[in-house]
Amino acid sequence: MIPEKRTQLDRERHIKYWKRCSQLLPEPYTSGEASRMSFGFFIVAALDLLGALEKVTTPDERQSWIEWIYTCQVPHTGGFRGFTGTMLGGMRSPQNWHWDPANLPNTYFALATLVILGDDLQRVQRRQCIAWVRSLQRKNGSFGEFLGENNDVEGADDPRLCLCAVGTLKILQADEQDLEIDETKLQQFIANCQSYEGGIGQAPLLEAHSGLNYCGIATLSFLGLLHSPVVSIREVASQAGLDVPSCVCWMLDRQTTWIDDAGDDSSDEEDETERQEHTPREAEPEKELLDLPSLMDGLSTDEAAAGFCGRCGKMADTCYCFWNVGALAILQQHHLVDIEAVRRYLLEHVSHLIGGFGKAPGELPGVLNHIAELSSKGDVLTTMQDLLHSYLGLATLAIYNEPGLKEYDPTFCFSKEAVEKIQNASWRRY
Amino acid sequence: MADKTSSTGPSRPKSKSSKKREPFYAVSPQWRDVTPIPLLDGPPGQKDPGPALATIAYAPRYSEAMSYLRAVMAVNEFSRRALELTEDIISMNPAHYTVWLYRAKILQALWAAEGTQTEEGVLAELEWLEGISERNLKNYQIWHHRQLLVSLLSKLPSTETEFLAHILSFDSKNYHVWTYRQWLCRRFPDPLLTTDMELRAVDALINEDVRNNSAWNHRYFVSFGADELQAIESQGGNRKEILSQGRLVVDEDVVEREINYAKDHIAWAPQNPSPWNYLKGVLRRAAIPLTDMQVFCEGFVGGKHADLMSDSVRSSHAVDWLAEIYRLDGNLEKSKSCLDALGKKWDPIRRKYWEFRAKQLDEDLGNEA
Repeated sequence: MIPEKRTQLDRERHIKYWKRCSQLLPEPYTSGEASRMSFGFFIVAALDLLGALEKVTTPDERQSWIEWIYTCQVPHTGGFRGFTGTMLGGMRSPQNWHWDPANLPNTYFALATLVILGDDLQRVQRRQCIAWVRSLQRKNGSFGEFLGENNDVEGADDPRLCLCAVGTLKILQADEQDLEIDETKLQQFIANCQSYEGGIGQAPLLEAHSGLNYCGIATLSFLGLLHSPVVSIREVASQAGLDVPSCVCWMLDRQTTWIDDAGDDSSDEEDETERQEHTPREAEPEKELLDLPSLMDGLSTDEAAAGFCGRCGKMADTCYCFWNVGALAILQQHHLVDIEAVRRYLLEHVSHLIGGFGKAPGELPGVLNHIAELSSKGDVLTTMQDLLHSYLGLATLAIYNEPGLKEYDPTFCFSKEAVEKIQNASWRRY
Repeated sequence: MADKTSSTGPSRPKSKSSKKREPFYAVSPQWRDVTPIPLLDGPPGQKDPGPALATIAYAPRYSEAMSYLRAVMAVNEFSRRALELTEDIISMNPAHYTVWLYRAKILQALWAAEGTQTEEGVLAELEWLEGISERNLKNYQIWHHRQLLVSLLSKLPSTETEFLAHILSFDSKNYHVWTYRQWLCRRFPDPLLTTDMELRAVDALINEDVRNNSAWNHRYFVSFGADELQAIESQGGNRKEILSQGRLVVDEDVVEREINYAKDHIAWAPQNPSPWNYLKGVLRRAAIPLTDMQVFCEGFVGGKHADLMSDSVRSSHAVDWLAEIYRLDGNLEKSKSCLDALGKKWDPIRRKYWEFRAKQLDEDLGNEA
């Protein structure tokens, strides 16, 4: 389909899209069900960002969602499961509860969604949850995803889980006394994930990747916010030994006019579930991409649209607009982006008539082939591409104060208005 | 728990898509003794809990299989039929975060109960996993499961490198595969790193697609990474510091080989950022100053005195490097002219960034004055 050319955010269409998503998600979402809590987060956070949460949902509906989230709180840990499908009902016991664990990314999403919905968090088992997050930290400073049998820390160790750990602690308003995580090791882990390219990867020596880079930067940002008085991200990054200028340069380098308007290329990021053909483009680098003067031809107009890619040499994708712009915004360097070009990319190339954003031009939001099965660790990033792309497209625009959207907090990943509710909460004193 | 029903009959549906609406487990004699645990999708004990959040329109077949999975997990049944049930669930919901651990546990129990050698069991499971991996290229759990299995072996399985080449043929930049590949190299440095096996494999991938940045990154790992990781793990501390303090032995032959490798590939495709970034990484590792690359870089802009706005420029990356090299040499005016050319002509999408860099230079000049 050819996206309609338009330069204004069609707020009403986006609201309709999210309202539809809030009612029922189609069957193909089953394959990403393990991150259902993140779907809930995207739906609620998007409606909030659009200023429509209270207009298009009823108080009963919102209360019912709050009840559902609390159903997912795992009794002995205080953390939250990602979906109700693991619940063992009356059969649950210490012998089997490791099959139904609280899950770190989903815990962040659950708490964030409760906050946005206006819940007072009174029913969160705060002390247990803080202790549980602490118990997920590994020797190298990173965090695991959940506790398995014998309380073994399971899941990958990568910056995504680090972000969810410190984000959870921040929403729980853990203060310095009850923090008790090894901050030095955590900072060091993030800094050691910085590759020779300048961006952060999944682990030391792995390729720089914008999603993981965002998580690394946001982790350091949350670490600063956990202190009183707050420590600036610059200072935390410097303590960590992160090379900020090369990281910023690498993120800005991700902005690209290679946006594949034909919609026929499958060279993408973590989110393609279909088989990918080994295209001739991959086998023989296109001349125009290697030959500078010809590259310039299509580039120097004022009308250029440019999205962001997630790794060196890849094509633009909606979610990477956020992963780069969001991390740049945390570092307060997002003004260095070609803002109009990214706006044009989002509003003229990947917006859809049905509302929402696709991951690339000509792709519908809400269709099966972009359900990523990346991971449970990817809950935070690239699990359910349709909801995720549609939300992160809005988030990118909100960072640049797009009319019709609330102000956005790039560290928390939701509106500043909702973040303020955390600060004003009085529930922590028990 | 021992295998209760080690039947060999068909124990899971054959054509899942066409039978999404029909019950399978409820009518299977093999599952007659199991009471499924229904989905609890809201506060327990309420007649009408109201709408749940992010409700999914599950296929009845999925809901049914999940209710049997909960039932066998609840009693820790480690049986053949439970193993087959995990396969059924994985085909519909491969990101289920505990079904894989459950499967691994079942396998080990079955190997013990049936007297299967670990190696034999692992190889059979790897074969099963191959098909699943092809259908779910971007799933994390699959690779974690593979890692868990291969870690049980004492020797690199002979089919593993072939499998990696095969799976990369679908997507040569698949992040999970490269992550697993690094792990594999560290698990079996002999023969992967002690011979030129891995280096040759990565060279082939780079020559197939010189822009494959994942392959370039892996080349760095193969040439230098294992030492760096070992230093981080054994000495602790920050990798940047370890490098800058010269705490690692630098093999000069390897450094020279890699510098030449990068330079050759830059010469082939001067606008490809991957070998430029790689070269910067190698130089940093070997503590070679960037300024040593001045002549090399000037070769891509038309010489030392070239007009940087003219078509003699063949690589914006060379202009970028020269901006830094001239700055380090104290030639701030020349550095600035590089930044100007980048913002005005060669890289206009980053115009604001190049202007910002030029402004920083002005500040440096101001500080000197």
